[in-house]
Amino acid sequence: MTRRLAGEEAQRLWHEYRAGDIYALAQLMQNFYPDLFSWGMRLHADRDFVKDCIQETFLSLWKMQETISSVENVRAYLLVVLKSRILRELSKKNRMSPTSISEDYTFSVEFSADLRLIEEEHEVYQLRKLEQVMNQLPARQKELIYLRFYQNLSFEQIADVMQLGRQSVYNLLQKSLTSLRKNWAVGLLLMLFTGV
Amino acid sequence: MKQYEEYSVEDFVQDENFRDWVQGQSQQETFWLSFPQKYPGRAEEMKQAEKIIRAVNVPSELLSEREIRAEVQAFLLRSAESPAEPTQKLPTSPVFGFPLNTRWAMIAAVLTAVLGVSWYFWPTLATQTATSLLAEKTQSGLVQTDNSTQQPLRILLSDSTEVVLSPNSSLNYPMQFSDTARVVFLRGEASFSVTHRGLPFLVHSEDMITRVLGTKFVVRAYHKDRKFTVQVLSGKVSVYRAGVGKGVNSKEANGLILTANQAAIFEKDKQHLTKTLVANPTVVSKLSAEVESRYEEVALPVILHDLERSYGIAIQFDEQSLHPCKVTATLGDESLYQKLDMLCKTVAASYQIVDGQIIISGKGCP
Repeated sequence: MTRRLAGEEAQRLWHEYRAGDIYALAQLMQNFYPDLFSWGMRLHADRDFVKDCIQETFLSLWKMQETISSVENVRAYLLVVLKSRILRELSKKNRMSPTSISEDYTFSVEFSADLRLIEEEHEVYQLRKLEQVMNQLPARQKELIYLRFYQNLSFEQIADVMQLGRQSVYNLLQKSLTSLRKNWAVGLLLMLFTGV
Repeated sequence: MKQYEEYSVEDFVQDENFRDWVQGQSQQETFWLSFPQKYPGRAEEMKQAEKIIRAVNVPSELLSEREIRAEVQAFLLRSAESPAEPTQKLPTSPVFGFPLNTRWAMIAAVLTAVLGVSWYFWPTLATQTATSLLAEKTQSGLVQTDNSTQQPLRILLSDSTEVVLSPNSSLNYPMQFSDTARVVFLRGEASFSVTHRGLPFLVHSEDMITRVLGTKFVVRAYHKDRKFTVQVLSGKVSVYRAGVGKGVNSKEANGLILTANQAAIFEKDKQHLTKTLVANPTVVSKLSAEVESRYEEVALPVILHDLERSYGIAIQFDEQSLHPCKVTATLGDESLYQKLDMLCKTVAASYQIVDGQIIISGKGCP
């Protein structure tokens, strides 16, 4: 997989898109596609649906080319925009009232530890245990961890995506990390006692 | 910034540079590799933090580069088509509430093996070669036909438009055109006989777009050339630069309109369009059934007007000063330029091609 575009490169392309260059927008789409797709699948695990939402997102971005303003972080902005679109389309499907978007959605992720270059058996075991503990966290905390450590968003950006205050995001993250380490430690202790 | 000596597990985890390194996206490999030696007291915390980052890993969604490229291509195709309010005009899919696009129509059709498709204007993408006459299907519903033979290759599109693809050229087009516009992508050279369908027909070739309603023209756009050309045989064509302004109308305002026997030269580096004439202007409307036109002591302006009508090319000259010039000549099947040479010689005048028009200058006749 190619490297993610650096912030400045993305800014430059965004600027060119605002100036009317559709190929700059297409390049942003190309480079951020894996992140956007992964994010979309967390919200609704239907490949064609997510692909269509991404298409429609970029098509409407192109339609708004003349009026759209500059953004601080292009990738974070795209994640937010994609999420609104997905939730809008989902609520249309379920024939819910179109205004009640934000709260009722399920974020689902199955973390799967990155085991590359790990050879020691006990290290692999620890990682798998950690993965287990992580997957048992409440959905909101999982989403937060996913956005912070997988999508690498800042607190402000996460606040945007999750529709929370910045301080709430920070507090929630601290809580998640603490409970994670506690449960992980507990898991390890169990391992020691039961000799598994 | 917190000192590394005091880093806790949380601090490592919150450090974006550290996360980048664990996730293999770092520019600072050596720094983090040598960190445990520099700060041995933090080695354990670092290891734990690394495990947490590794655990927050989501298996990649089995999305190939090829699929992504196909999606981006579909986006470009649809963006060229969409009018101001697409959701009003296009029928919507009953399942998703999206406007039906070519991709949905294609999924229902028979699929052949999906092979990578490259876009020539993106040098970072890998190129793929296909056998000469094999048309391949991409997931976005575009077919690609390459001509790697030495002979021209005839392609018939779904609207009965005929394309003759020159050697070393390729054309990307949908199996079925949408009902808002007909869009194809050309690399190399092709001549088009576009049927009138009341829908615009667009040829994308890198940064140049050629737009017609129904007409005959040749686009020459080999990637290695510094200049692209569009030559019009009949009908009316507009040629403009891609990415200028937004929406079909504003683009055309910055482009050229060509009529029969006119041509456009697009200079890639300067992104500059100029109008000229085709290399071999042909008669577009015969004045009479005669193959030859005989003129005996006829005023030159009359002959020039006849030529204007036959070739559909504007000829500018000073009516008054050329009126006294009487010419006796027989014009047959010579080229337009030969005819002009001959006529100008008889009255000691000369001609130039400027902006797709012929300008005749001369002192006139006594």
